[in-house]
Amino acid sequence: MNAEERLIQSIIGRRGFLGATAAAALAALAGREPELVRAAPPPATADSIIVLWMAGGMAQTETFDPKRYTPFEPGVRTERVLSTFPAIDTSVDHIKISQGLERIAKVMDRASLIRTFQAPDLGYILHSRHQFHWHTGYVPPQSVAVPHLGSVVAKTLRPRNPSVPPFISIGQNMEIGGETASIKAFHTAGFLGTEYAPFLITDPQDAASAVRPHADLGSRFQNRRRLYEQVLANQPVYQYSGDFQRESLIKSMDAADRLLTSPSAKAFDLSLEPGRNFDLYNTSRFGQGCLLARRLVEAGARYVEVTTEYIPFRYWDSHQDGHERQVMMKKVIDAPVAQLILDLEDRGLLNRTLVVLASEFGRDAITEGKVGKEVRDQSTTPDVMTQPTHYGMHRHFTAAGSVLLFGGGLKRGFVYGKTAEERPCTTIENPVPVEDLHATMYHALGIAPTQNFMVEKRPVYVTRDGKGKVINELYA
Amino acid sequence: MMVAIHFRLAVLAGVVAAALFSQVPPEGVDYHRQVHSLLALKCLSCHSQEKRSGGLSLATYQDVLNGGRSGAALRPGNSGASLIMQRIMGALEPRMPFGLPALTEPQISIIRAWIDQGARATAASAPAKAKWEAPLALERPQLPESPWKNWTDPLDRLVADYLSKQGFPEPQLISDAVFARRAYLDLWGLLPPPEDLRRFINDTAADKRRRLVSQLLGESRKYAEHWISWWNDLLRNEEGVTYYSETAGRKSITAWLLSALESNTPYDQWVSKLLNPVSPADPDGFLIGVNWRGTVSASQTPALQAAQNTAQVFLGINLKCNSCHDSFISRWKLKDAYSLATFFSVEDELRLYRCDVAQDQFTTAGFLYPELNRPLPSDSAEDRRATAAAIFTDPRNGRMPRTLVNRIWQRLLGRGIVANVDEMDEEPWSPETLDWMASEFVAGGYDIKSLLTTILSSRTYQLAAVPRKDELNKEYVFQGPELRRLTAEQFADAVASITGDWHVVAGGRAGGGGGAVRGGLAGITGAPSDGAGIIPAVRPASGGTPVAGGGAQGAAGQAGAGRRVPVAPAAPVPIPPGNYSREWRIAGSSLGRALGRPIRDQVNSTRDAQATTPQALELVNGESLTHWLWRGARKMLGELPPEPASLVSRQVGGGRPAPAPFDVDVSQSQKLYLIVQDALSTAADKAAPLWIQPELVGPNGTTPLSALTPLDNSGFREGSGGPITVAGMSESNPSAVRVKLSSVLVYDIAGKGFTRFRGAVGFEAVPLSQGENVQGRFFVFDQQPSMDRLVPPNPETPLPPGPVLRSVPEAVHRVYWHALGRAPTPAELRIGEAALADRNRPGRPSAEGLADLLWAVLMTPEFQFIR
Repeated sequence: MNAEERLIQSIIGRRGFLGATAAAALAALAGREPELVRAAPPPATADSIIVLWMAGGMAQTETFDPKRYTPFEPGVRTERVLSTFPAIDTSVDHIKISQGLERIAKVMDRASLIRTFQAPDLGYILHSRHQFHWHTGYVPPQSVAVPHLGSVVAKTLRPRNPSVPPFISIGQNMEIGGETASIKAFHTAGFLGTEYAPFLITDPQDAASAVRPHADLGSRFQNRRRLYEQVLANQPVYQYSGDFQRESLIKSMDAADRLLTSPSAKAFDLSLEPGRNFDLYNTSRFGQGCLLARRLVEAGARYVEVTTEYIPFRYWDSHQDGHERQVMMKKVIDAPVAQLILDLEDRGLLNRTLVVLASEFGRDAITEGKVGKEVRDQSTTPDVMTQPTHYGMHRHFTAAGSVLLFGGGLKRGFVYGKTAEERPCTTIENPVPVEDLHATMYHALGIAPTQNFMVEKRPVYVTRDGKGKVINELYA
Repeated sequence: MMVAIHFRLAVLAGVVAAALFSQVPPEGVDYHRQVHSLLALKCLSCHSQEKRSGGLSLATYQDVLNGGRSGAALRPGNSGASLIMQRIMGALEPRMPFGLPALTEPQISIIRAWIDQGARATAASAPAKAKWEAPLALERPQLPESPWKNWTDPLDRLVADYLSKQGFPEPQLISDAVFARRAYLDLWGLLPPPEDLRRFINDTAADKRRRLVSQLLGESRKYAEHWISWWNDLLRNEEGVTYYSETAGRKSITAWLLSALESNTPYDQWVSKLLNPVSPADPDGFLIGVNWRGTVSASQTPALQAAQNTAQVFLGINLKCNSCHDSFISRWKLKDAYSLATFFSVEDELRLYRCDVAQDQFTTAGFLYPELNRPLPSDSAEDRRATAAAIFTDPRNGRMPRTLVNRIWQRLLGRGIVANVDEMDEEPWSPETLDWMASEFVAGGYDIKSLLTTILSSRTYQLAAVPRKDELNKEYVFQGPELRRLTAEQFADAVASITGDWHVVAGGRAGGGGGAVRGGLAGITGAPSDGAGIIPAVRPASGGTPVAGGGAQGAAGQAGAGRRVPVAPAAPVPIPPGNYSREWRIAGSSLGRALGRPIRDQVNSTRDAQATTPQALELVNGESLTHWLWRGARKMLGELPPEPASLVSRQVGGGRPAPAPFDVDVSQSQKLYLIVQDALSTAADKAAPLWIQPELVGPNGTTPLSALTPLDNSGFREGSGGPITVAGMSESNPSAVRVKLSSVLVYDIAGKGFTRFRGAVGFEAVPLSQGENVQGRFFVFDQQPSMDRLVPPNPETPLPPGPVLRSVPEAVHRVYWHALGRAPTPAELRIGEAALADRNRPGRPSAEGLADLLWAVLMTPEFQFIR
């Protein structure tokens, strides 16, 4: 127990403590929750984090790591094509990115760009499994239920504002066919308990309804609450009881009521955003999600994730017609990502908000996994392209991928890691495994990579085995 | 038994040795000055806190008492039985200090005297308490005399003896009403229906509590449908949840589990089936585990998962650490996990991997307690599994019954006799009670219902509930059951039984499963999956292979050149009716998850019963509970309108891809609801449903459906732009409306004079891989249907419905009696009556008010906790 928890413990039994502490602190008192072992925390350079999730494997050579451009022509050998778009200039002299990302190009002077993220091969690519790995730091199956990054952040740092859920996940439909169970498996707080589970919002335009009294209830919502208080106060059995379990139940009801009636709930309501601002973001549900993320961070959210959504063979998961798909996806992300950065900056929040745009791995036209590793192929790309649907990066590439980071105390206009200019365009300098990326993200939030939770008497670290190394070069 | 005898001989030998060879023991040995300095000098080079050779540190007083992997280093007051003495005397190899000269006799006598004097921390301290060492065999205790007249059952005699020694006076038992609520919830997972509860309270028979237990256990279906959730948590069983894998991602054991519970299969046979599934009906899913596509960590292969799970679930032993490396916190080593895993592997020898690095070391099958090993009849995998089953269920293996008894005790009384049910090496608060119960369990033929009867009939179970205090306080003293929270399933089943509004699970699946349907378009599951699953493109149209999804733009929702071709009528596939079901069958409901139903990827032996903010949000504002109470209140008042019947219901897909025609009368219809739901497609993302050649017939001829505009077009699906090829239909490119797999299109046809609606339903032909299939259900309604009742369910409900409530006081009484098991107080009655008053209909209860009162009562601790 830490001092705070001891204090609460000492006053259990007094009704007076009800209003005084957060529900989260009470949860810790249940005792079954794993003990948090804080390693000497680094000074935080960010209070909030926004993860922009490019679900399905974003092709790095078509986005943030452009290589030699080869236009489509029937008869061109697939192996000749490295990028299907020309590179464009950015606001930083030595950084080029891919055509179609013109707005992000203008804010590259606020970005740190990692080009050498390396995912594991795992023998056979399964998007949801790699996404599980990226979001927890551990490859499934695991013998304990490992928590999502967002849950770790929520548990460690607690809510910034008690009326805003600390971990909000936007945009992922949880019923996606064959990989439904796999997607659900990591959208969980695992052994940290449901207090730290993600607050899920599938459609940003519906977000307001999640924190607004239910439509069936209407004006009766407040009546219900009053009735509940009357019923509770008149129950003969528990009238004078101050028992912890009951108190925490009542306390959780108060927390929900506070969230539903607090002025902070307005942050969820995109209809309150001036029309012009809304339009700047409104490329798609993802774009609206970026706007919602900005509003939530302004209101005091801790960890917000916005996904382009993973559905097998959709969006970034381009197994055919890859070029056209990239055109579409870049239209989806370019404006809202750039606008999010500019808005955060305008509001003075960028310095203390880390924005991370990432994907489970990259793509290539030829290599599945890494060169020389045994990974089963899943693509039917022909050796010679005959029609436009053949044009694009249709295989899963784990030897290099791009991660774009903004704000949160990181360097600006900086590139980390180097990839080869010729196929397989693999990492040749400064590989970044997921544990190092996580360590770097956690570091900004003041969480050490060796922080752990005692589960079944053994430590489970926030980066794999506590071995994540902070990429110090990224820090300003 | 063998173990116990050996142990006693060793003790005896030790005592004799001590008596013969000891010199005059030094008086009042001081640990810190005399013992610690000696240990530090001679032992710490290997047994420091950092090195811990053999898991043993001798650096501090507590470390010395804690012992190492071989168990306790010493037994206070008994130097002869102390391992440390046997090692330094050389009675047990290797002699210590290892590789160094033996201790001198004066040095030995200091340690010996210190132990014999009680291994005290200081000369003035009390003697040390011996470290608890869990025996392997059961040790059936002598039953003590009961200090209290009525505490005569064996279990009660043991507990009365314990309580009186702790200084407690004879405690009061709970009332009939509280007992009944507890017993119903523990045996059926349901609240006592008010009529039954009142009858029980008014019953004057002396043995009525015992009879209630026996009556509840007699209704096996209700019992099974409660306890299956607990077993599902333990055995990682989840219906309809699978992972992509090259072999088996996961396999359900629901059908077997349900039947084992219903028939009260003896637990030793139960364990045997799980460890050694032989026939097709046996639960092989347990050993298969949870597997994802691709390579996995060496510590998570199916065989290693089986080792971890069998040890944890059946023996209360945690092998997770030592599946990767020798454990730092227990005596188990890497090779122990691999030896156990070999029993469940197809190979008869396994190579060890230390933290995923291959070692030059191999193991064969071997049990955690070598004294129970048996010779393998052959090196076949079948014989290894059969041998493992024989070892686990060996009567000498007291761990197996002891672990189960402790788990069930925890489930019923809130806290185990060994507090951590997964760590059966830890000390029970009453070893006698635990071993007496376990011995009885074995003697009675591993009868789980009989074990439940013993506990529920006891006075011990009938003690008042004790609120949990500080969980971290190790000095636990049993004073009665802990206050327990309702589980997710108990909570939801309570809502269903109070309101009479049960959820419906789609029918048609053998065994247990069936998935969720809970409003919205979550998608029906539960249809038969025949695995044939290929919808052939009978005659691919020109212009390339049709693909699912599609990227290029086609006219959304409208399609086809519009040539009408006849669809040959085929025998319609009947859609099996759904069933009213209890909560355990509803997979993945947000209410269930919020209330603590776990994702069953790991063994879950104890649910998180903590109240949390996300949970309260779901209760206060969640769609499912809000809507459920809205319906339920109307149902209680007899005001819920009957479900509309469908005009058309067709199932298409799987092994029968042919489009199904329909032609129905719509002369009385104002609106048309065209609904498509998934029916357990394995490739739902590729499903491309169609309303084929749909047209409305009126006085002025026919109107194609595409000429009308639906109220909401979100159900349309974009096509590829190319011609339509219908699976199982030879004509190419018929006119059709493309819709999403789960979709609702609503058309307003009021006043248009249409008399008939006709067409066919089917899927576009798409290439499917081996094992993939798409299947869907198509419905037409002319009134808004409940999405989970598109097919009228079988009428039977898990409990018979309650009376229709006519008056306000009756309704308030009903809520309090059913939810809380008691009448409302006068003050509560006034509050309830005010809430239910309906200004527009004096004397009649308001449905909204009833929903509000139900909700308010469900939110209170008195409802959510089991007293």
